[in-house]
Amino acid sequence: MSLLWLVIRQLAEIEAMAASKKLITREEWEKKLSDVKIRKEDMNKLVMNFLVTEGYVEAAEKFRMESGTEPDIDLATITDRMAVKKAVQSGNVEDAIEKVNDLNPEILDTNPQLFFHLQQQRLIELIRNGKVEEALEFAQEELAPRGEENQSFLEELERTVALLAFEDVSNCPVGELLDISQRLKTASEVNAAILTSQSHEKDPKLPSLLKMLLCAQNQLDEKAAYPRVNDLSTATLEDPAV
Amino acid sequence: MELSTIKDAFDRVTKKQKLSCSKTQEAIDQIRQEIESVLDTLQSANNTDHELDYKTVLNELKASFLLIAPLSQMEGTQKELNVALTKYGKLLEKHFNPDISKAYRNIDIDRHTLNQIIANHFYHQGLFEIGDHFMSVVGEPESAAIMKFPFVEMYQILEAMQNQNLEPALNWASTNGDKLAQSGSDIVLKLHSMQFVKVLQNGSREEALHYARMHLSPFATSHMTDIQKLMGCLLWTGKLDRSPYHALLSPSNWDKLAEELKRQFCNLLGQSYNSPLSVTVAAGVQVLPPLLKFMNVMAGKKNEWQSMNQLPVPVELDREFQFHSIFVCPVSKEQATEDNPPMLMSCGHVLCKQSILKMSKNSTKVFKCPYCPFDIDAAQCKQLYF
Repeated sequence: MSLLWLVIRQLAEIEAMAASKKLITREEWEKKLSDVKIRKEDMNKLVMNFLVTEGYVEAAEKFRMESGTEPDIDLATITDRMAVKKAVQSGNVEDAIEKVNDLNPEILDTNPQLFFHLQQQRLIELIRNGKVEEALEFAQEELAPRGEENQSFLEELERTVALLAFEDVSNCPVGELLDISQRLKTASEVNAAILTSQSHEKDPKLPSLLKMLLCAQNQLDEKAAYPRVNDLSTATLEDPAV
Repeated sequence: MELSTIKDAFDRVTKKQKLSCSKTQEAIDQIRQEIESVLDTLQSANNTDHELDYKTVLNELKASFLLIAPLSQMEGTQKELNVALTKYGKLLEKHFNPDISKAYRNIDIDRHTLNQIIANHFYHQGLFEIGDHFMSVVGEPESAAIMKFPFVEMYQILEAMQNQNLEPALNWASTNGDKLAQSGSDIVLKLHSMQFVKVLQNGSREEALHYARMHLSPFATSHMTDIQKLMGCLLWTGKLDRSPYHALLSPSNWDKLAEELKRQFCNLLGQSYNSPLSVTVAAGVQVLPPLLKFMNVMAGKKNEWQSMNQLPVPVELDREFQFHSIFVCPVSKEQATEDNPPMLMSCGHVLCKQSILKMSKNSTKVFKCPYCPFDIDAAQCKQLYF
């Protein structure tokens, strides 16, 4: 947070200087950026936060040893969370549900939407494996009552069952439900819920920081032309269009 | 028509009649009571030795009658009844024109065409026996067969649908699938949806799933929302009435589907949904009152009605009778025709071509627009198409 504050203050000062649309040369910009001091420990904390939140246990362990940065949670608990995530991502939803309940039985009880999505993913896996009769039986027993209680659940259920109307499911309008991205989406949802139940922030700080950078740049665009970062992956300063 | 006014007047007459009747009954009761009393007196007199003066008794009876005064009692209510009746009669005369022949005028129409119109009406309504009989009587049984056939097919389909049998309708939809798709109709999907629901109601989930794959999935690109809902129904097979989709079981769905099918069927035939004769009669019923009013105004000028070819009074028809747009020139007050089309002037206002030619002296000079201060060059006016 202190790092964020430094960046925000610096940008505010730059903004104050620009009474009208002002051209800032690359040399001027780079000098201003070099005046911003970011402590190495803050950087290390950010990286560790990302690795821990996203569940990269081995990387976090190695990073801890090399940098001396301590994670703010017990790495052992990450292993359990990652086991759940891996189970969902590989389509083992039943196993994932068991693991979640082992961790904390209240997570699914207090989060009906998450539970519905896990059951939905389970239905998707049954359909993917061509077990039509079993899929319909499962949907009728477990998901239909949920759909009766909640209109948005019902609509999601309709979309999922609609997969069965097509012989060639990969080419049908609701085919994206069978994508790996659907598994990842459900896995992320589970991960976030577990983190919340463990009183940890469910999103890593680094993406939030980058979002704020982009937002600040957008605001600054209204008042000045300067070398801006367009590609976050390379973080290259690009000369302003004059 | 203001039927409530007539009903009110009728109720008033009824009320007065009841009042008058009860008054009359009351008077009669009084008279009868007096007579019975006198009879009792006379009867008891005969049973004794005492001699009674009959004349005196009868005089007393007469005096009682005078005291009752039945005529004056009934007079008031009778008068009121008479007034109400008279008013009612006048009201009826006002609202129910006894002589609608004033609005009649003789027009020569080809008998064959008229027969065709009448027969078409019967077949359109599904009255095949009457239609056949009519055509045989007027001596045109051959053209009847041609006209009749498609309507027979249509009513067979509709009759089957009344028994919740969609097979003839689905066969028809299959045969005409391409034409229906061109006209943008979604009735094929609706028919298949209804059939799908029927299969579900019979409790066969596998059969329903197979039906969906065969007949519903081709509509996926354009009607995915509908298909999703129908597939959701699979989870409530056999108990659809207790599901979020119970509305699909409503009997009114069958009525709507039948009406939609009839509309599309007539559309493919190039026929109107309602028979031309019934449309004409319905429009005529709507137009008759203003026409009669106009004729009463014109009563002083004989025979002029017979010769005019355009009404000088506006006649408003409901939206259901407006099939396509027309343009009436504000200058000449005549309806635009192909020979005299509406023209868009450079100022944005519209006049008929002949009016423009007249006002511009056959395109030889600039004229002023009747609506605004613009000067108009006839050469720059463009024809409008509706």
